[in-house]
Amino acid sequence: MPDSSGIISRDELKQLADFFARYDGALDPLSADCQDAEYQFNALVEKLHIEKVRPVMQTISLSQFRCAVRQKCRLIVSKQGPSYPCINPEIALAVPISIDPIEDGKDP
Amino acid sequence: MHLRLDGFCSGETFCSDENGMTAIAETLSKVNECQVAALKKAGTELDPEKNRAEFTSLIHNVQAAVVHTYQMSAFASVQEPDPKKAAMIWKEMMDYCESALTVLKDLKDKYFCCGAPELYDLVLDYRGEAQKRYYQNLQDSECQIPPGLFPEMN
Repeated sequence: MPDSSGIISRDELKQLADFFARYDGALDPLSADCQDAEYQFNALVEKLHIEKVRPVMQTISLSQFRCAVRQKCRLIVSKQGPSYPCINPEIALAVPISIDPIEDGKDP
Repeated sequence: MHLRLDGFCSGETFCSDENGMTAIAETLSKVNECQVAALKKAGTELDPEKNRAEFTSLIHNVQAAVVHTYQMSAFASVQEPDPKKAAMIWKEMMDYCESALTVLKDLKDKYFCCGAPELYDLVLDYRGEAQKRYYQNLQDSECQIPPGLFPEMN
């Protein structure tokens, strides 16, 4: 059974949230970065499902797992606020995705 | 289009309240509709040879509206924690693309020299991307996150 820290680690979740923000929130859906991020997101989801989820949660299909990951990533990314405020893109790009706003000294 | 625009102008005085942001979103939506309507009207009135520059300008306006509306949708959607609401944002983008495609479908052959076929292809691509995000988010909204899958968030 999974422990309280979850089957998916914080680092993996952070990486998934970063890919998710890059493709789902891409300003240009036809850009190479957007398509690359989507490919990497799906590849990581598939890898995690095979290596970590399926051995302990056999009833969760890849499709269900992908939906759960997307939901979780959406919650994380939405708490970060805009990643590209346009006013100063250099500042926006300097702010990394965090899965724990409290650790960064922000309000949840 | 009723987008959540607070990320666009937080701290700015011109749209600091929710009503102001809704008003801006509604205005943008009307402007978008006007661009498509203007293109449709021009398609019945302008000559592809004589009014080439004028028609090309209208094509550019619709292209700008589609691209910008997509950017607004992406910006608003990625900040929306509820996948069902995010899906609705993409539904509106899909509908806007559909309205542009309906007009462009009739014009792309007649005005082939004014960028109409290229815009038609671009809007098809954008509609496809919006549609993909709409269905994904709709599917996400029906899914429950199994306990123990992810680490606890503070």
